[in-house]
Amino acid sequence: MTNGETYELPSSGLAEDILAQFIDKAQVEVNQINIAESRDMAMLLHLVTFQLGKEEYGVEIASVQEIIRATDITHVPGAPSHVRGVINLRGKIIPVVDLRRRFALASVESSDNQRIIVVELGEKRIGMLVDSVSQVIKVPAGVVEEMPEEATSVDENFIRGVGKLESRLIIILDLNKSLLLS
Amino acid sequence: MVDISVLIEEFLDDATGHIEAVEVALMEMEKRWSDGVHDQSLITLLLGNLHTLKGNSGMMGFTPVQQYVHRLESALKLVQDGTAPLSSTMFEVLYSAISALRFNLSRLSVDPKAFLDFSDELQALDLNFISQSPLDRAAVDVEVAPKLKTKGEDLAYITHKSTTLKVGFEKLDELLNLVGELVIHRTALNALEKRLKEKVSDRELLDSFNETSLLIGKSSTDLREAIMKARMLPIKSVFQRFQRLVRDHCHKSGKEISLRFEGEETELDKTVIDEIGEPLLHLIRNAADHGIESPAERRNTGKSPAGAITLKASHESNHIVISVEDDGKGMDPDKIRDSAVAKGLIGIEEAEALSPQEVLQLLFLPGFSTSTEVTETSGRGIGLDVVKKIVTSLNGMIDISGTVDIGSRFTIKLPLTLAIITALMVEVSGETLAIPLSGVLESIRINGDEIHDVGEIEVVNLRDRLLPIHRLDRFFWQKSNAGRDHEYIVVVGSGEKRAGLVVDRLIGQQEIVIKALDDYLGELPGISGGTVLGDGSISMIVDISSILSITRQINGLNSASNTLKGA
Repeated sequence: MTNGETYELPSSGLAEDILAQFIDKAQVEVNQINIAESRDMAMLLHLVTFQLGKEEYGVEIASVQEIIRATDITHVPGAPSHVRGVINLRGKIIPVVDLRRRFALASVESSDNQRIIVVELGEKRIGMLVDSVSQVIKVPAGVVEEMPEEATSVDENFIRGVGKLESRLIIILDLNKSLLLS
Repeated sequence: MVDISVLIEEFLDDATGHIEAVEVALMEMEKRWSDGVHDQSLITLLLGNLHTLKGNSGMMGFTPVQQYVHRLESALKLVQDGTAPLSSTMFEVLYSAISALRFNLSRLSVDPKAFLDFSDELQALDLNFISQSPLDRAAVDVEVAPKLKTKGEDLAYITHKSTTLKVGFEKLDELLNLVGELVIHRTALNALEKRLKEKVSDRELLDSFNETSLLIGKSSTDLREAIMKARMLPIKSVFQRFQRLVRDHCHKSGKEISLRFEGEETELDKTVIDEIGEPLLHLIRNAADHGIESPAERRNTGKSPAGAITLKASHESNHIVISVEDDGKGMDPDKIRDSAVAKGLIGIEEAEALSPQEVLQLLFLPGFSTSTEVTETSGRGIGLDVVKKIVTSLNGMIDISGTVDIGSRFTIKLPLTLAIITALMVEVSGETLAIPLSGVLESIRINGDEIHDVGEIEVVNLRDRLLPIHRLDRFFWQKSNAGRDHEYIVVVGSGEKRAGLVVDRLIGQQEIVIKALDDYLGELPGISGGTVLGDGSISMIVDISSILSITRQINGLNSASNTLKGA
């Protein structure tokens, strides 16, 4: 701490200057809180939603690189069981996670609706095999609730929150936890 | 004598860079000096550049340049520690030194054997920096300075065009990746052509399509070769690193060893250059430590007291062959056999059954070290097993041979590059797999009943040698088509281990670009990577050594072979 930062009483004996400084500081803090709140109100989550079993899931669009048809997945012998295989994405070989297997859902026959959502996870690019891709929606951050404590178990810690829209629930995934094995 | 013209070019280019840096620093120094500032960091920079230049000149054998730069260095060091204060005359002397260096280097570029004369410059240096008398200096101001200027008026260096370009390796790697894609697409074009032939009857159109396709193929091959060439470095750079090692070893051990090179101009891909140092280090240490005898021992056996280790490199079709040879005591199969038995690496009966050549392979077993004492050079038993592991991981093979009292030789065979390989494409359970051709010895078709069960493994009798076989469908997919009338077997080898891989179908040879698989996929036994085929599909690359290591040791099998022969 240097001398410049200490407050010295003015010679008049009055502390008006100091008070003024404190008031200014408090105002700045209040403003910041207000700004944060108003930003939060306006903040929208851009989600890519997809179907997996009977539930609708969502991932943030910023982490989605592209969505492609689920064809030509090459099986990789010896890979972890939740990995469906690898695909050729413009010359790069990237792994594809079978989200059904990852979330321990019963597997289904492959269909034309199946898609691979290619997401970026840090340096990695990983594909997620899903039943079908629904849409891209904007959800106000305010409608997203964290999972209630009593409802979370080890299996559900890949859920970032649940978006409650009028007629439906969207389970928003935490990609890191959904895809990466700790 | 080796052709060093390429090296000279490189040296000159590098030297030009250093001289330029010196000049820039000198000018900056002069500016600051006239402002009354004495900048130590600039002198340090100057000295750094000069030092590199001195070292490089020495390495190239340009002794006059080396000596002169050395004197320049000493002079500048006097300035650095304040013994010789700067003056405008000194700057003149330094500038003319730069010009003199440029002038002489340009002569070297014309004739590497040119006689270089720095005597005037040396004199000027001595008078201005080394001599301490101010009176002397005053005299020099008048006499020498003008005389020096005349030599430095060659302005060619300003318009000099650089012939080389430093490019980051990643850029070349990216280029090679792109060419890899091109090669893939070109394969796709081939497939397309086949389909066109079935559908289109216009011969002329087909012919011109074919021609264009061939041209694209040729261009992409040329392009690939050109890029590969840009990535090539002479193996000399690796070989030379060992001179010092061997010299130090002689110093400590009292042995006399000369390290010789053959084919050191052989160019290798940078990926290989980067990896080859470590295995060579182990082999050379081994040769120096265990191979070459002491001068006294050598005299007793009638050899010259100085031993020789020879590093050889050469191209052999699609491979690079690098060998480390010594004229030392060689390897005694009996000693190795006893040692292996004593260490519990092999049973006595098994050991006795081995041929001398097979005994030498025991050296590659983990935990084997021929010398009982631990030495500084060879260190602990890290050695041949590590070497072998590295070589196999590079898709290469290592061989060993030796004769008692004559010497021993290790031969490493590596693919030209680690990025593109030729592979034998096979089909197993409906999937296409790539087996690196470097490890393929042959492929055969045999009758199903030629496969015998010996204990837990299956074997075939191939030219009187038992060959263990692995069914790839079982290995990778836990399902098996065993019991067919005919089986296709790809005989593969890794080091001295041999085995047959049973496949459903042989597709053919193809060049493939190796792509690493994401570590998200975890450890993949039997798979070393992936590759994208012409039709865009992916196939796994079979890791031969990993499959072979899962099976029993070769010695166990050979005793089985003997039992069978005896029966």
